[in-house]
Amino acid sequence: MTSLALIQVGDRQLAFPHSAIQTVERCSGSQKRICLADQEWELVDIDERFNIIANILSESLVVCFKLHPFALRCTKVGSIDDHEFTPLPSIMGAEDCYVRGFIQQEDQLVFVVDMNSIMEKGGVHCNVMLGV
Amino acid sequence: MQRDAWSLTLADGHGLAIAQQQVQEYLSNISAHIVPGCRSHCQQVVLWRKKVLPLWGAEKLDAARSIQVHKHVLIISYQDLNADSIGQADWIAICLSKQPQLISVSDGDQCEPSAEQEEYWKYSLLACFRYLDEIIPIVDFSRLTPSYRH
Repeated sequence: MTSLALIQVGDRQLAFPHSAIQTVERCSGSQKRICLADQEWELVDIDERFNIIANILSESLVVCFKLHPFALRCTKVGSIDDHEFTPLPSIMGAEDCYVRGFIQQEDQLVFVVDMNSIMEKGGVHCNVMLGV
Repeated sequence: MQRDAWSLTLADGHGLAIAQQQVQEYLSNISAHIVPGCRSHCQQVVLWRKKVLPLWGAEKLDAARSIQVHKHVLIISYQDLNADSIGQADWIAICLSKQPQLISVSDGDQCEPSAEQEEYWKYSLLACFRYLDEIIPIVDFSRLTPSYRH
């Protein structure tokens, strides 16, 4: 049994390995960036399709990721055991799917996601937008 | 030989027939969770008896949402005869545009599928039969996996 990080983003609860997280911080609603120990993260949200978008919510928590220049705003941060993990049914499979499976928590469905890939895609998207 | 079957019209407009004994439960007004990035015919899951089931055949979403409520959903059981665990049942949820219709078909009603049906069901298409003016497919759900090959 492994413990995963659990965050609430909008209506969804997302789980992923703790190892993806550098730190969890508090922030103000108007804040755009966060700087810690010579590192800088851009505060972002993800939409219902896991696209990274400019921050539009006023959540007070942010998760700063290792390897990526983004900090994701969220309402809750916690952890969850993966002992009731259900893999994504093979019938649904697609190369672009970032969902690896699910964990049922009471009547809620937690999405276990490949957060590194979501952040990588977000990085490419930002580079295109900036013309990099 | 005459057999009874359920004729199903999917919410995405396609149709199929299943054997009576495959039906596990009919659900109305059930919430489905949208899973971004999945193949177009199967982008949602439903919770049923503590299981997470793929939902096949839902209508295309016109807006980004995390939950969609469906009026008619049928839970179907099937067996994967090619799997190691032969005899073990698996389940799939099917999103319907209307309630299932009980029909009677015979071996003599068999016919060829349309090109559109072949494209939609691919390797999972087992046979077709004609009922009134419609060509209705019979499907092997274990072959709906994208990686399935003959």
